[in-house]
Amino acid sequence: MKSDRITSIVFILVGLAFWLQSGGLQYNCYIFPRFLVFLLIFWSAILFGQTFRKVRPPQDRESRDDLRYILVAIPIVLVWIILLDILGFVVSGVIFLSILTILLDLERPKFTRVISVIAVYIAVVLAFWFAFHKLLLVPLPEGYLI
Amino acid sequence: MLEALSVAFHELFSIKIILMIIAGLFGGLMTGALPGLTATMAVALLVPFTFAMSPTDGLILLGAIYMACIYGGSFSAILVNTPGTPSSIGTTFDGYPMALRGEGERAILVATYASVYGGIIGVIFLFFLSPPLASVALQFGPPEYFWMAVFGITIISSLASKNIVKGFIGGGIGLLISTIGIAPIGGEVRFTADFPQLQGGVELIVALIGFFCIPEAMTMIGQRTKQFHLAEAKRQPRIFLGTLQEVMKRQGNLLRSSIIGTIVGILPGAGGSVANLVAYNEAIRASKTPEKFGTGYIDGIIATESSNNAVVGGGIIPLVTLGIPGAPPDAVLYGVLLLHGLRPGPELFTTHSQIIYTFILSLFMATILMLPVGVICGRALHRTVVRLPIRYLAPLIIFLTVIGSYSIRNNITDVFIMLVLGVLGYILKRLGFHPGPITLGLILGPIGEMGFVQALLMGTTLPNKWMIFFDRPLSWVLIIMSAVSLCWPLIAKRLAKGWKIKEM
Repeated sequence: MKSDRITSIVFILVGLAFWLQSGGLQYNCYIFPRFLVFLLIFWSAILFGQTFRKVRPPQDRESRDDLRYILVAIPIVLVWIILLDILGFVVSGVIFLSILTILLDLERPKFTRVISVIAVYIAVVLAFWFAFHKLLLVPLPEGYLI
Repeated sequence: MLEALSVAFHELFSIKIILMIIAGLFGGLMTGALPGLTATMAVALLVPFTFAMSPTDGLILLGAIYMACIYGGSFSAILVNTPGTPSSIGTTFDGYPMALRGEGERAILVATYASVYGGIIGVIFLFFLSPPLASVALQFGPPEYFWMAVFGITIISSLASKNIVKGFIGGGIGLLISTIGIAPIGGEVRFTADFPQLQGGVELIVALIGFFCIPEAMTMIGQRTKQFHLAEAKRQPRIFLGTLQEVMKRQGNLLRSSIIGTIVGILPGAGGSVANLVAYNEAIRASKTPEKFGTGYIDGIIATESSNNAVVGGGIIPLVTLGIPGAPPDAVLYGVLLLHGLRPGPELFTTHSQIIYTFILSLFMATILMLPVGVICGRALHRTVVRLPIRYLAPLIIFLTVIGSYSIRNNITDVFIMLVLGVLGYILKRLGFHPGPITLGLILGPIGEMGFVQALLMGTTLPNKWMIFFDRPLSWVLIIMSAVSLCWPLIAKRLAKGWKIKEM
């Protein structure tokens, strides 16, 4: 309930931020977003009000995840995206996939296992690169390497 | 007409054409299953390959790819809770819970049978009822498009039945995200927080990948110590015939959803992304067991998959009769017709009847052939995903999301936006906000805003400009439908109480 209360306040603030941002726009550009902001604030206020009710609406929450791994994984993905334009799609892709797979491995990674993971990912990434870049002519991020 | 038809039949039953359709189906299925690669992109990518072909061969190949791509989106929706194309958003609601129960193969078969059924109905409508149905599309003006978007938004009351308030907040967030960038009318830049990269707005597919794929991959990462594989595949004897019988028993749902798909397909600008959710909503409303939807119930998959494949035939109706593409991939087909010197419009049926009838019949054949090709590909993909350990599956899903979001506009900013929305989607999911209403808002936002502002401009000729929204009979049909849809959870509760009392 406490989280719902905070969420509703955050959404009301988001709505107000959109309202303020629409200040200098012409009528045709702000009328629809302001209408939406009104609805967002209205429903957020109802959610806020619900948190004080004794009979609470059913919750649709996910089961608990181990947040430590998620908090490590997000920066890894972020660094990978930054490196895409520097190292290129193939090199950065192999590095990212290998690191994340080794991180998620429940067993302590052995040298042979690490080598096999890297080998598998070199094949996978090259297959995607060939299919997209060469066959379908869809551009993929390019860096100083491939 | 009969002469053109006989020539079309003769041309169609050749080894070359059949092989070409199978190749198109295979390519379409693989593209559709990859999140981020849409049917529009698949058809557009293959256009250069058709330059050297005759117009008939080119259209046959692209038609097969289009049909298969829409169906292929269900594979990733079922197996990894990520719609391969926006047309399969609704398939995640029941497909993924089935996959988690170890019934992924059954879910894929349900999607296959429903897609084939919907595809056939769409093509039948295209063949027999093109001119009268195309005239319906012309009745739709800006006020009707606005009310159609409102009707679409009311679907949230069915999608988020556990907490309607959170559903509407999610829808509001999706609608507001859709307004970021250049205003469709007026052209001013809005809500970009001075980031020039946001001027182009948030691409729907990028948001879709972010809200569906990233939270799912994060959940897999977060629960990696609890489970080794996504799910254990159950052995199910007589799965082909048993599932076929189960699907075919639901004729009402199949037919209703296919007709919804065809009609939504005819309306320019709507397409499969709207059709599958409208059909899902109507399936819930018509069901005697609405509480089962969202828990891995085959009626949910039947509704979404039959409707999205019916959109293919429906979308081609205004293209070949009026020269107006119904859905985005039809716009690419429009270009292909022009490239080959054919002018889309009513004269196609008179001056190039043989080409157009061959194309329509090839769509029919592609839909039938989708059954064996889809079953083989679907089973192979299911086995691969189920057997793949989470430590490989989660990184590969993130890898595919990056390829998908980058290849939409070849822009690294889209990849960053995808990640930000993905993290936001994960937080919202943990707080009990379903990604369905958010993406529904994203889809309907541009349709609604365009209709709303254009209608207001039209209304300046009236004494009160707001009366334009209540001035036309078709608007009233949509207003009544919206009101019924919004109040349906309450009506359904009353009806259920009434039935219980009667049974007692």
